[in-house]
Amino acid sequence: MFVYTKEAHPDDGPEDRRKASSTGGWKMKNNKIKIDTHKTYKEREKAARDLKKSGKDDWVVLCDAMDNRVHEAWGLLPNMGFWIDPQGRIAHKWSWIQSSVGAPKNGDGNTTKLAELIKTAGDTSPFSLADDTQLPLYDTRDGEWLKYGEETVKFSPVGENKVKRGDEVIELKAPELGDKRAKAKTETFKLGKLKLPCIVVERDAVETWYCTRLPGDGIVKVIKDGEVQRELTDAGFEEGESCLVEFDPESDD
Amino acid sequence: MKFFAVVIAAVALIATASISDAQRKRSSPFSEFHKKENLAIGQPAPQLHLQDTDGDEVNLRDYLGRWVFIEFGSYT
Repeated sequence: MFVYTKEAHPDDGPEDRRKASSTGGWKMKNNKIKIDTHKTYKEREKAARDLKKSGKDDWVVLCDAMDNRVHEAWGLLPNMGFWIDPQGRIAHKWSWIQSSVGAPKNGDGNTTKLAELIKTAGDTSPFSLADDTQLPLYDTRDGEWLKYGEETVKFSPVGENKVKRGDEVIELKAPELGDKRAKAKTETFKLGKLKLPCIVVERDAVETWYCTRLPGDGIVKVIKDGEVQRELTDAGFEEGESCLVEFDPESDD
Repeated sequence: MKFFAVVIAAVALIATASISDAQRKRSSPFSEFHKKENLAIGQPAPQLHLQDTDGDEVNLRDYLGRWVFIEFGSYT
């Protein structure tokens, strides 16, 4: 996975690196690839697409927002790398690594380490959404079903608000759903080009669609007696803008 | 007397430069990167929720259960 952020060496940047601004890089004397500082998100997208076409077809190339917020959140170094474990934790990191852009120079040792890590990663079997303990797993305490796409997962109760899947004990998380029993399944809520993964909870003839990726109560749709009572119509960002823009689904704006 | 004053000023200047140099070394982006507690080994990865080159949303959470390598950078 490659996160495309600000150009490290834009063609219109200052040749003196000390004059580079915090949001721009500096021009190297022998810039082989000539790209100016991105002025719009579309320019950054194009640069990212060009990178992908340059032989990185098997990479997932992502575009950072124009304020480089993801780059900043992860450390702000120009060529840093991270090895993330199956539980979503940082397992290894490099302050400098160039595994995908050009030939590594002073990063040779780092790419060797990366190759070792990839080799020893072992089984990378597809992950079931049921393993995501952040989802509001609910009412599986009596071994009822929880459906994730095509997969139906069953849990066995092992105590108050705890279920067992295999040898793993999972604490159920859904205090906002109250004590009533409900059934849950997953669905995808489509909003224009966006696809928001949701968990759908059915209780007392009311079907509520929660998207755990949204701030606020995360409710994107409510259906009562078969009729839509409430539905999210604005995700808070336009096509081409960053999808990181936070918004309040309760707001009328 | 004037000689001593010049010597003291020079020593003070060198000391100040040394401290600044030490501070600069301590606060380099690379050293700061390794000091950040939220980016320490074993910590949950920060949020990563962006669009790919096709305009589709990608969330690092979708990759739970797999080992993932993430590289930051640009074409230049």
